[in-house]
Amino acid sequence: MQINFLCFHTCKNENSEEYILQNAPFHSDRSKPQWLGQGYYLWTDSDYFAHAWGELSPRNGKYAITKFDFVLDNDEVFLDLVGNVEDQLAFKGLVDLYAGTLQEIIDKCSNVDKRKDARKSLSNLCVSTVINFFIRRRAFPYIAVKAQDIDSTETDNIPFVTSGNGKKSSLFYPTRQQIVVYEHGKKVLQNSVLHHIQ
Amino acid sequence: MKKHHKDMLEAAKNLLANIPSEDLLDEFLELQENSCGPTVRDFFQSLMSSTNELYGLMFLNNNKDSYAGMYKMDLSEWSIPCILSHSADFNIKSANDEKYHLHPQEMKKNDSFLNEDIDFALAS
Repeated sequence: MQINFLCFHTCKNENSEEYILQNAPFHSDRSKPQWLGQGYYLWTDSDYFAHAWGELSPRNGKYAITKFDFVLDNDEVFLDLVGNVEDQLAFKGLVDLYAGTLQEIIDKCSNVDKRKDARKSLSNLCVSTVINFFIRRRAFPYIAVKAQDIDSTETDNIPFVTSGNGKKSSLFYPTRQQIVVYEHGKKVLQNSVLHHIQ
Repeated sequence: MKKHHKDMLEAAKNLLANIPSEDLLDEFLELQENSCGPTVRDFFQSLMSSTNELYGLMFLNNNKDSYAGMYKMDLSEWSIPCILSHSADFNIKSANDEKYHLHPQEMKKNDSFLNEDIDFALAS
């Protein structure tokens, strides 16, 4: 199945417009950990969060946004953790496999201090750890991952379920949806246009 | 799950089974040390959860019959900045759309503003 959607990349407004257009998207800072792994990060569907990102440090309101078409013919190499339940379940399966294997190893670890540290770390297992482990071991068959978070200042919510025990569920909107495109998948980003500059 | 999902999980299972335990544990600790972003628990919870659960609000004493009911909440260490970032002028809107006004003078003074389990008093 073909996948096609718009995405927006924010960068500093440095050098010329031509330079930005020719070189965007810019790779994530390799010296820092990235939550979905190293690659090209873009906001999806709308430029809303691309502008919000441009206002933050170190861009501080001096930024450019480049627009791309994300075009992919093979959806099997796209992990959609926002809009595809099967992809979410597959990722949960990957997390469970990794965490379950580690739990067994930790339980058998004879070094008490190490076992204690590892248990604490495992209880805070990060998304980035899981993804980076399987990328490093060449067992992560995806060229792009779409994910979202809920930002406390940008995301609103309305309750839509109130059950008898008082538990409420909410619809959050808008969620900060973004994609990372890994280096070997860069060609899915097509038809770049300088969308905004300030 | 589709075949490519099953294939991916099978490959992951085989990979994990063939890495020496000590190496796997050391690599995990190193990756966690350099990790960033949400935990997998928070990541999946954020897909379907209430604001209360996300930001650690818990109403312990909800007096519905009073116009100025007092709400006592146990706030987790990081939740106060989250709440205040949601609010303008200390007006707080909760997940169920009720509005609250925070009286700073009602806050119990502690050595640390962000002390865990600090009690806050809210008046609606």
